[in-house]
Amino acid sequence: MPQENDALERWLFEDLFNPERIKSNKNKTGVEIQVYIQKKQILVKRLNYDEIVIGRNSSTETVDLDLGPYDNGKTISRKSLVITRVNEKYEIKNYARVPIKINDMLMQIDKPYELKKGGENLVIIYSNPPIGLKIKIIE
Amino acid sequence: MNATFPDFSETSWEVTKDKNLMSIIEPINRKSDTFIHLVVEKKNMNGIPFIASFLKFSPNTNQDTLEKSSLLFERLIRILNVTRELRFPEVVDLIDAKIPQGNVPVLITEYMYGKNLDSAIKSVYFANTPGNKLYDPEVRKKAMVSLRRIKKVLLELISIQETLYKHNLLHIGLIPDHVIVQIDDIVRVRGMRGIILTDGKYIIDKAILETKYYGSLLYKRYTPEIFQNYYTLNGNVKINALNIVAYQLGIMLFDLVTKGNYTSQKFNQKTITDAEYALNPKLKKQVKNCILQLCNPDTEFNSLDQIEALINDLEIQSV
Repeated sequence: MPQENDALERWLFEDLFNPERIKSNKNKTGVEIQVYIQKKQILVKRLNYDEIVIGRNSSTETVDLDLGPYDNGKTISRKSLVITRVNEKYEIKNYARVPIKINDMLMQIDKPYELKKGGENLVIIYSNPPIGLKIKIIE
Repeated sequence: MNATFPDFSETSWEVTKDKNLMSIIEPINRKSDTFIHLVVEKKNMNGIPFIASFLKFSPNTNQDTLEKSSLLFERLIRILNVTRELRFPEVVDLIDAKIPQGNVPVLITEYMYGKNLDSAIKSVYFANTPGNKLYDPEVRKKAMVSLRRIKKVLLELISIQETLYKHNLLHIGLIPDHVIVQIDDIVRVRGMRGIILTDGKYIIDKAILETKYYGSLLYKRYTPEIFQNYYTLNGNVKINALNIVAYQLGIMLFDLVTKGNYTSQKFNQKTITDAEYALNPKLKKQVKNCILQLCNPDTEFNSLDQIEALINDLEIQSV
């Protein structure tokens, strides 16, 4: 007997080309994160979650943006940065062991910093090698 | 820029210059109403072919239609991700390429080496010939076909359907063009647009009705007439997808055992009964019966096991 499958969302079969669904999908806000190492862009990721965890995957936990493969010195914390959607705003908090700057400002641990809309938020993680993030809010 | 091909110059892909590879894809393009397929290579990695597929477009195709083809690709990719069936092509990239009126989404998938079942039928690839005569086209033309090999291919196709069926899906576009036979008769399948959602038996897929964007799933000669009703009645009719699967396997079996000699004729009970089968006389009757049962519009298939049993019965009697 066939099994009911949750992983395949119904809209793929019911609503695929519906302009209203496409429009509402386009209207969803989210965050685009560009990852840079030595000024070279190596990854772009768009995420649409209420909470985005940036750090390093471990055997027991998976993060939304895994910087582990680029962290030669193993200096990145499993949970380095957390971006949270609070109503219409996005906040970012630092939980890392290494220093992190946002828009040239040293981030304090566990303190929320609001991400600015309509431009890029520049984050530098001083890992080995340092990793740059350009965080853009998509509206 | 070719009038019907997109411009890949701003992407990391280019159309292959290997004419042999392109010639393999040309018959598929001639038959396809929805997609155009090209053999492409990565610009910095020549000699390794991939398949680029994009919506067939004309100067009148508007940007909305082109953009919506990316939704179709998204559906295919999501299905492939969930089913994790290695016999489907692997998706490599989804890019935008330029055309005069804007961009067209292009899906890049692996190039599957092997013989297209359509050309396998025409060249009597499954001929039961002695090893030293294997490559002699004249000998092959007159030879019987190997029912054992054909049966293996059909069972492989059922096994692919079983993978899909675990997710309430079935492939109703299994025409010979979409089946690739590789070394040792390993079977791979293309034409992922043919994968539809069922409730375990009946088609419940509304997205396929939007033929402007999805294209049609009516394959000439390989789709039973009853499926046409799904389009004309806007999905408000119970169409048994298992019956379509059985019908397509039945007609495929017929074409394989008759070496494709009747592909230009109407496929009906009379054709099945009167045809010349390239089989040992002892096998003819049971193969004929099997085809008649698979393609019988009055049979109501309730499971893939039922279809598999009919194919499996061939072996019991042919040993």
